[in-house]
Amino acid sequence: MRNVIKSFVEFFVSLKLTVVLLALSALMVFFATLDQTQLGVWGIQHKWFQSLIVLQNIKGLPIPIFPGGYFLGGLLLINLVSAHIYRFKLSWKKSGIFITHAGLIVLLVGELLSGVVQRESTMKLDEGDTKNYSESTHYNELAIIDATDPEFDNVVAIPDALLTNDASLQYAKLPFRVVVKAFYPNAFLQMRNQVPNAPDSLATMGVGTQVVATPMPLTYKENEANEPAAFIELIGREGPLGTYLVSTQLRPQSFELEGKKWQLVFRPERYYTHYTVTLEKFSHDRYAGTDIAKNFSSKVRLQTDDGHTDREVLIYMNNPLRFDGLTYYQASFDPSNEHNTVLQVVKNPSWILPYVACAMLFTGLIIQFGISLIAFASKRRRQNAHA
Amino acid sequence: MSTHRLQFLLATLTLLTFAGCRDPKITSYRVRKEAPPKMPLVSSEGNAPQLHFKAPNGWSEQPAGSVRVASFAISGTDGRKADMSVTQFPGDVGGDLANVNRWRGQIQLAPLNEADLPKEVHEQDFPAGHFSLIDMVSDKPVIEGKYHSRILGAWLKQPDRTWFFKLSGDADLVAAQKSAFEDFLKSLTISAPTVTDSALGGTTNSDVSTSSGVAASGADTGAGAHTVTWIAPTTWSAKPLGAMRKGSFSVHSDGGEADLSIISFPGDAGGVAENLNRWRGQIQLATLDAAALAASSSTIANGNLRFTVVDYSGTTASGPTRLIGAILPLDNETYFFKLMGPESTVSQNKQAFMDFLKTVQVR
Repeated sequence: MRNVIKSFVEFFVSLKLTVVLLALSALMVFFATLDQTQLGVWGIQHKWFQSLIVLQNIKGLPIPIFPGGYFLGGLLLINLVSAHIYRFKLSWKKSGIFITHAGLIVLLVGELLSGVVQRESTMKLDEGDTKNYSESTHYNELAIIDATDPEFDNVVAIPDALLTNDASLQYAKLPFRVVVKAFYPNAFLQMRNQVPNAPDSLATMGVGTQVVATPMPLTYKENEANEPAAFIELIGREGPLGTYLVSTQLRPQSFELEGKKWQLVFRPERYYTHYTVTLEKFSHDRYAGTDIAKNFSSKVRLQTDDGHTDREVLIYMNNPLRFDGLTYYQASFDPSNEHNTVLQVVKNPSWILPYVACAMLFTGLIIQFGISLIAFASKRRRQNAHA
Repeated sequence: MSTHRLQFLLATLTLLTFAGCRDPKITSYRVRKEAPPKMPLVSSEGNAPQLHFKAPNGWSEQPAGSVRVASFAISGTDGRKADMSVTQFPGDVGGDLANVNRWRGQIQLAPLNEADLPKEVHEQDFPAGHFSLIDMVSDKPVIEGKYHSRILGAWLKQPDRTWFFKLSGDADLVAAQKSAFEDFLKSLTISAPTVTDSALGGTTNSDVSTSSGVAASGADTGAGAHTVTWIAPTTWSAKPLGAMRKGSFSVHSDGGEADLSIISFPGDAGGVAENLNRWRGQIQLATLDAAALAASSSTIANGNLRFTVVDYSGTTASGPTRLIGAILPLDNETYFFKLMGPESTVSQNKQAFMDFLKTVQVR
């Protein structure tokens, strides 16, 4: 048992491990940068940095090819913490190194937390629009809406990750089962009358009967979006109700069942808040003769449902609105519409940690160099005095 | 590495597994309804005439929405329902046969052919004008698999637009509302447009292009989409856009009707070569390699815009078909202009199509 503990400690406190991990991290950044040409920034973040093992699809099989960012970062963190506990003794002489290392730990933990809890979405508003939700840039959902109530919608949202081929989904609030007959992560839609030789549609109800959905390879380009589509069969208590084609390119489709009005829509995943944001005015200047934005800003009105907050906020570059754990950045606008703004909405409870870490690193290094400098200067003075 | 070290490595791996997993779950919530989109599919402002009517008893008026000019809900016993809609579109929207078959499709009836159409449609004069009427009952129980569906349809053609009146829903309930439907048609008056048509001498797409915010394609959902405008010849009649189209026209001549569609997709939509081969497939022509495609196409310029133009003749189910298409790649989306239809109609309109491309502008 003692041997076990000893080898445990030796493995995790070894400087060799640190060097190997740092070397692997450098290699990981290099390979990920090469891979970025294929997958884009978001793709490689997930594949290389926010993963334990990097999996590469080789002939349809996911083959592990490299340790992922969480694995290397996690081990580095354990290595750093255990080396501290095992080797370092707290003394004034080493206080700078101690603070610097603590800063590194905070940085690593902060990155891990960001990867796990950070959520990015966008809010697109025309002047006069009010919204109480933002939309995911990467995830979609199948929203099944009970729209019977004239004022409220009862929404059941199924994340696209659950819409796998042949999945059968049952949810207590739905009077029917949702069966996924086919799911295409990216699809090209055409009207049926434009494709004379198209195979029969799986859809039996809704607009899908007139549309041909052709699966397309996933795109990772910055300026392209994947437009997923799925054939969804609804099965009620007394049998099938029909198969619908749903896609992020199609409008909500309605049907009635047992006296209730239902809507089916495949849309970007929505994150609702307990307050509303209204775009009052969007202004932007361009550099003369170009379409390049010089500065742009959105004047919004923020109102909470409980009436406690009702204020106007100006959001512009480097001046985001921070409210209730969310940060609203002025991100973009629609060049074809002068009255439309795109706000990036970021939820990251650990946003402060990198700043704290940098301050700690800076302070630790100043202290450590300061101590060395003072020691060196006093030694020099003593030597001069002797001379 | 010793066995022990390996064990520790595995233990650490397991611990780290807990981090970073997104756990997808079905959720449910209640939210206040969203306001309907502000941009109508077809502009009902400006030069659109106004509709006045007297709603029969038991019809409850609903918000008009983006396409409907008027909308009513009718409830019967046992929770059975019917829906009355009034819509109007520019032009004749593809003609009577296409419109009747569109309605027949909605209640899963087989399409009619041209010869059978007059047997199904009858004509009647009402104070608002000369109406065409049709009455259709589904041959299967299409409502919840239990009830038959019925459509009472009427349309009124005006020189520049067509009005559609459709009462649809449970067959028994619609039958009971037939006289109310006729009373409604009798009560209609349509006032003249307040503004005359555009002085441009053609139909601009200004009233339809802005409406494509109805989830037609990814291009208009994200930042970076362009506003593309064009001026169509007066001889082409605009059609409803549908879910995908940015522009849609019906082109008529003695040879029959051809269809002009304008669509856009984000990015390069698979590239010019792939799309040309897709078009070739639509008229049953074999795919070509890149060199042969390049030889089969030409490039025409309009200011800074470069269109790749092709002219293919092939066949479809309806006979010899010609397709003249133009692909316009912009920096983050691609526009496709396609005129497709009977050989003679397309040949007669080739010059008009080329001139039409010259009117395309991108802002």
